[in-house]
Amino acid sequence: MERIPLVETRHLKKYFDVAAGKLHAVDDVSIQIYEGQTLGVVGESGCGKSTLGRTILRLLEATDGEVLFEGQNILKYNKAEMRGMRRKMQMIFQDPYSSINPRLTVEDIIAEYMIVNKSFGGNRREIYQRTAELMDIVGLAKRLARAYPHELDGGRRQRIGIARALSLSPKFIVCDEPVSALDVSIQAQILNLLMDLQKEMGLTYMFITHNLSVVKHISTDIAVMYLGQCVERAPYQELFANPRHPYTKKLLSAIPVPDLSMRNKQIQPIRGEVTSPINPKPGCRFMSRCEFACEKCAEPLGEPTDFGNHHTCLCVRCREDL
Amino acid sequence: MSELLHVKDLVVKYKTDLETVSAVNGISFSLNKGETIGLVGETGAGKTTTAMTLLRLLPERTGKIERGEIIFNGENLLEADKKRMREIRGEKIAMIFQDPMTALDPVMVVGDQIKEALVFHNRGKLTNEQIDARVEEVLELVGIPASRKNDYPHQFSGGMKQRVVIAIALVCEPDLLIADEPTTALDVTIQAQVLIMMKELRDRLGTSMIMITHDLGIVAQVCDKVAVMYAGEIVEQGTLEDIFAGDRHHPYTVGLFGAIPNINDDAERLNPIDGLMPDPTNLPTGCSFSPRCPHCTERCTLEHPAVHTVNGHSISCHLFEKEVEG
Repeated sequence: MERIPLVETRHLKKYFDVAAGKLHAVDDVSIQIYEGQTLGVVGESGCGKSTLGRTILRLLEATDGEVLFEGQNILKYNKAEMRGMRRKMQMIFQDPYSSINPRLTVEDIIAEYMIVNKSFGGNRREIYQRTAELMDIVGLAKRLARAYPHELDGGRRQRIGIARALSLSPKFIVCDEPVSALDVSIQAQILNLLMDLQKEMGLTYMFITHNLSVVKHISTDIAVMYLGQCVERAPYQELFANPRHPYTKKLLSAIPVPDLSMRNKQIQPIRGEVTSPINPKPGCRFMSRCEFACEKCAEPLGEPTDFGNHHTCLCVRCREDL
Repeated sequence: MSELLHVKDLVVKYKTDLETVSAVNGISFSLNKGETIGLVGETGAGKTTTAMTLLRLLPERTGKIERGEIIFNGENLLEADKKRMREIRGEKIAMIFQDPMTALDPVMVVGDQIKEALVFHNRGKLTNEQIDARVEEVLELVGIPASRKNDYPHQFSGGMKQRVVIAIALVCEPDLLIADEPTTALDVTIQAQVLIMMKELRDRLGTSMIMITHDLGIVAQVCDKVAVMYAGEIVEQGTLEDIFAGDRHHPYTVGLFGAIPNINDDAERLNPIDGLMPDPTNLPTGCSFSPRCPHCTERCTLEHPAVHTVNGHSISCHLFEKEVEG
């Protein structure tokens, strides 16, 4: 089956100017996100996964590269064109406590985007009717319409964030750690809701998280990021069955599994910690922590190795049997 | 094995003018020397309050220990006076706090922070040189070069700071180490490093440990015993095998396992527990899990379940009454 990318980045770069030089938050990332599917983006804190999501939505301006949405480079769009575009792409934020206005009621928060965008010709009655529908879709009781966010718990607040993101009927939603602030039993409710919505509305997600168990559960494809670069990308079964990049392998083995049979397995942790993303040297960024590092690793990285079946890996030794 | 800690029917409430929060409602557990017990549960289950009570660190005005006993090495800590508690804290029972970023003093070099407990509990036994040597030894033990003892916390990364916090807890070689979500603030790869290190240290020093976490994966890797907490009660308690492998469980434990995405499992949908944790200022009568329980009967809403124990595996649920008798 040929899959059509809805969102695609080509050599996307985002550098921040800091006192010590240029911080390479996103460096030469090329990914495809297919219509109706979910790309999970995983990595440790500081690897640039949130910056990538924000740059794709143009909440941050890219330094270089292209972001294609339905084949159009949206980085070239002017403000007015971008405003139209934003209806098609939305974001669900990490922290349901700080991402919604504490002084608006639940229904006003959800209606706000539609009022600003003059949905239904700006007809308030229809907008609030739609708000009630949206609350129903995400599982918020009608009696909460006039409640304020502080009256609700984290799970319900995250549902407000989801209803708000859905209000303009977007095609593409960036979910930035939407469940990491929630308790496990609530986390499962929200994950199920997101998957149900995707099935019903044909939504496309970019799902940013540091939790590999969650990402495996929800994603069609997974991109592993390390220090601003996308080091490996593959469909989720493939990635978990045949990880190629040494970093991916370490990352997978580091997850504590709630299973006794794994108790005595010897974990070889990654030595050291993430190095600085400010003015990184050319060559592999994982080199200093990698047990397979060789001289070749210090040379500038070329294009990622393609294993076919949408599996690519950015490691010079990944073809060897390590 | 000899018993190090025995907590009996502990009840802790937070009282303010407006409301009373029932944080811990009659929990009992024991811990032998060299053993690790995992306290598992969601936010608000009373895990941290339990830990704070063991160290008598509850807020003075609001936190009230209503009843119970904490027997540590044969001594009831609830009867110990302030002076005695100060002797115990840090030397006999030490704690690793959740957030390494806020647990350290930002204007004090880490070496001095580690030294503090040693100097306080020293009572003239060690010379200054010996204390300095011990600080360096502990730093090396947790994997930090001793040459960095004169650095400030901001010069360390998150994982390194957590190691410093662990070094502070270990410096007096305590009998009991309480780790309150020691790796929640860390990335998975760093978490793996810290967990492996804690396991090695425990094996080498023979320290008993209380591991507070909501991550069942960590429990499976590190603990010998597990106590599952819900709304201030231990709803199920047993060995690691009882909880992870046994076929009889409290409905909440079943729900908790169903709700976590398992990396080795290909389930399409998760099975979340419907509803929310009960409000601790207004707990339901009967079983506190009954409003969310799929097996709830009328009796569950009226009568608080007793603890049913078979071979050390205890479950507090009406469902298991018959099995115990028969």
